Amino acid sequence: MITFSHVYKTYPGPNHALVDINLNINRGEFIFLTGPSGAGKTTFFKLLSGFDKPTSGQVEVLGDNVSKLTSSAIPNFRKKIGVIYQDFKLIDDKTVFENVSLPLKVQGAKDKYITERVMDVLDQVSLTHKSKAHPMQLSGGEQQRVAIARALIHHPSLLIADEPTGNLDPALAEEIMTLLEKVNAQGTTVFVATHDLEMVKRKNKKQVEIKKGIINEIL
Amino acid sequence: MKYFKLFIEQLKYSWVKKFSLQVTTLLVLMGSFLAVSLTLLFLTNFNTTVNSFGEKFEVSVYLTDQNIEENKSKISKIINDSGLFKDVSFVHKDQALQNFKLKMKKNMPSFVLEEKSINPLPSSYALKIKKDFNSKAGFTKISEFADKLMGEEGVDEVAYGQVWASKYTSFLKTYKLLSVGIVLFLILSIILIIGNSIKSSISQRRKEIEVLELVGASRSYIRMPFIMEGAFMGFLGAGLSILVTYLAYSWIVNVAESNMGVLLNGMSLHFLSITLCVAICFLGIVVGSVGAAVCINRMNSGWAATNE
Repeated sequence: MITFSHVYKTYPGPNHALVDINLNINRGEFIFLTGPSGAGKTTFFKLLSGFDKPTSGQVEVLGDNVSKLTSSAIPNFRKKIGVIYQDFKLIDDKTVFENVSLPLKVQGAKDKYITERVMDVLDQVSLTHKSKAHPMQLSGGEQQRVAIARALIHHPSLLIADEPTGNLDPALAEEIMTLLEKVNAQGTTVFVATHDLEMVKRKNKKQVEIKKGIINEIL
Repeated sequence: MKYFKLFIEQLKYSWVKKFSLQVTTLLVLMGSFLAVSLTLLFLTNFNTTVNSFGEKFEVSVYLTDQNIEENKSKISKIINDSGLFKDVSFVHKDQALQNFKLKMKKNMPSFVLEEKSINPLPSSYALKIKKDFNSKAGFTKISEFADKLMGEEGVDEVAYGQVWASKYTSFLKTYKLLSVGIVLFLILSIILIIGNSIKSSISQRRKEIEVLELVGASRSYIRMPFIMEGAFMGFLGAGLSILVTYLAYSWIVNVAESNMGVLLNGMSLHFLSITLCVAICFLGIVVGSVGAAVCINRMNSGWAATNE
């Protein structure tokens, strides 16, 4: 499902963010990507989610070669995945309903289906009662649940989360991780970049550790 | 149809959620186009006035006293064949004297009563030039025609205010160049002003563009509503500027007719032609959409969501 083969990413400097990364992830897995700040987690995340291209090597995600994605092919690739950010990336002056419905609107889904699906996914994240609220009226945990709902609404095969609990207190972080586990249990591959090693230990999932741009260990 | 629906949604969203930004953008657009509309209104009326001077322009052909009737038909043919004049009238020297006496009736009654006075006035043609010749090229033709006529037998003099005509045509040339310059300068200025205004409007929605890229919106999905909104705002700004110009024009006409009737001396003011109004609205659409397209092109690279 995800294959990294001999992937290098070098930024001007030169700064070698990723060095000879080789990795295979199968459908339905729950993976934690861990490592200290500056280890290359975000670069890895960007390549995985099609927000950047490798300097050399091949990154294959859901059958698409990310290394060769053209600008016009990017939207179609992103429609297949769900992405969650640490800073939520919600549009402040749109309601929760409008924010969550965006991926389906972009795909040209019918209004009736959008309404049904948004209410369904909001129910999954326990936010049905907040559908008319604006992001600023929600707590951090609720905002992240809205972002998760948006990432899930179009039934992606792969859910990628970059530090999804980075801005949340431990209780809310646990709540979000439980939600991601539920999503994974339904068959979606979940890839989470985090530096919260305590939580990773507790969850006992597959872990890819990266240090100085090199995969150190796969646990 | 898909993009039109998106455009309507975006328009509703912009006016409801970003009302003050939209009003500011619209005012800037309207102000810019108002400068163009008012300048064009001034130039249109100034042009009419300037051309009316030319239309009043006359050429006088004075004949010698010998063989008047014989020469008259020959000269008349030359004048008509030239095609330069819209009105040709012949005044015989006897008629010229009668006219002169009528004019001098009050000032020189004794002269009017003289039955057999010496007649120093010549027979003449008064020629009014066609509108087509109200230009430097036209006056050159008249000048050539006058030189040709001077060589004809029976013509004593051809007068057409040579010095005045020369200055008038030079003025016309400068005025036309200046008008084109002013309009071009204004158009370039509004392209810059509108471009910056739309850029600021779109910049404030950068986060939205990022999120749309993030959820897989295509380039046209992101760009078309912004471009259509730019075109709509340009059209609205241009249309409103024409409306304000019309109100200003109506007020000026009202004031001029009630307070300056004598000064106007039968001269009428004109509003912008329909063609010019349509052209201004079209300019609004073009400038609005091009401004939005250039601006959105810089922001919607497909990778905006990662360029933080």
